[in-house]
Amino acid sequence: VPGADRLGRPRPPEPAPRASMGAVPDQDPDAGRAPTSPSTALVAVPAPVPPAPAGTLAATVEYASRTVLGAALLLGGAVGAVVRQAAPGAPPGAEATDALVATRQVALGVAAGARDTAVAATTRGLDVAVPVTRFVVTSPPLRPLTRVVVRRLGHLAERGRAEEDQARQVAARTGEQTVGMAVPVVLDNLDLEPVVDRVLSEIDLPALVERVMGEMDLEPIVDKVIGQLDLGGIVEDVMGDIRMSSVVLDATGGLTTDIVDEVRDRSVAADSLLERVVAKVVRRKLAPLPPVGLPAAEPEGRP
Amino acid sequence: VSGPGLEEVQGHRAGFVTRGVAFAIDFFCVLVAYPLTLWAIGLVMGIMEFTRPEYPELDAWLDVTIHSMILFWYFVGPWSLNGRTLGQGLMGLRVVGRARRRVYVWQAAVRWLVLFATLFVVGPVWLAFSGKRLAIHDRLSRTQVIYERAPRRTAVSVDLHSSHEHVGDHAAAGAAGAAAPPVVPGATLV
Repeated sequence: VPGADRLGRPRPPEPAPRASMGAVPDQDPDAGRAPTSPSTALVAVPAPVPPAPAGTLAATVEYASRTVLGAALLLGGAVGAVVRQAAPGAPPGAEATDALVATRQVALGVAAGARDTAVAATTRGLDVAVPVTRFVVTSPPLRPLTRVVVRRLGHLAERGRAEEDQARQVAARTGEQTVGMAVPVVLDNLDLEPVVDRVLSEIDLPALVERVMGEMDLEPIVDKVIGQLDLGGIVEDVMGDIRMSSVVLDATGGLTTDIVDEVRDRSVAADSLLERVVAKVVRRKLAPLPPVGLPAAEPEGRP
Repeated sequence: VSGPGLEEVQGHRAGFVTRGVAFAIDFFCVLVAYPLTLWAIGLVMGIMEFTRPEYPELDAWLDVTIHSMILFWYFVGPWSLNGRTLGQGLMGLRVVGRARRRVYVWQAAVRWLVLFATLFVVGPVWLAFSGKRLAIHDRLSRTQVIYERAPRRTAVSVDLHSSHEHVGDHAAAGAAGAAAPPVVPGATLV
């Protein structure tokens, strides 16, 4: 990629000269040089490299290594401070010597270079290995083996999922059981009565009420509320609602009764119609309406 | 569709269509009552056990037992108490004995048994072709189904509050007054 290094990172606009100890480059000595402390005046450090694009192998390694390095530096600083405080005879606030710091920084520089080289080699290797592996794995002779491996991996993944589910269920059950055991124990051992008794004994409610009533003048408030209330209007509204409810109820009940009567009337007519049809089918003389319930006048017979 | 009006048929035996509609309403009520009963049982059990109410999963025998009891008492209870189920009440019908008295429990039980034994076979056909509007279960249980609206709105009302005794006396009195207005044994004008 034009303008990018072998790790895919964009190249810095002006490559910083890598100077050896004591060597002075021909160019401007301050160009591209990182700010240096007095202890590192002899070491020419390249300019800070911009971070690699997120998501790449280089970026991941860079981020992880910097995180670890930062944590180690913080931890080392803290440990050093503690040791200096605790060591007998050590002057308070004594720092590491310049030579030690310079050595550490050189080591870090070497490590960073090695890291970049390793990442570049790995990336280049993966660029070759991945297509080759894919070609080999998907080649016809190896397909049965690939299928077996994929199937095995699928089974393992399935089992892993099941284990996860079971672990979650066990954890949930354990949590519920713990809460179920803990809550009764807490409730059994928690005696609120003394607390309530203590609070009530500390409060003198009659005195409190007397004090509040003494300090408040309720009469103007009551007068104002009553003055703003339209009691006559409220009573009229309520009575109107009640009258309206009874009217609605009467109307609804009458409507329902009318509907039911209509249905009954039609069913009675349908009864008569069916009876006439049956009488014609069986050639039976249509009898008048049976008398209204005289058991003695109703001889039993065929239907 | 023409024929006698609703007022004219009050006190007379009901026909096939009206009874069929009433039975359809009752059957629907029974179908709804069963899951509602189970749901209510689940609700009560949940409240008593402080758990989430759930629709109970019953054994087959218990399922059949509850279903049968609901089916039996939905019909037999109202018939023996006031003579009408919900569907019959809506359609303005009432089940009474031949003497127009409230039916006994045994009569209601026999009526229910025969009704469901013949429901899908000859029962409906028999009623449809009956000249006297009596189905098989009416005949075997000595009952009949009459049109009767709510007492305060009907001219003829069967006195269901009097006891089952003295039926013969009322019958004799009714037979003696054949030319009288529809004063029936055990009935009062309102």
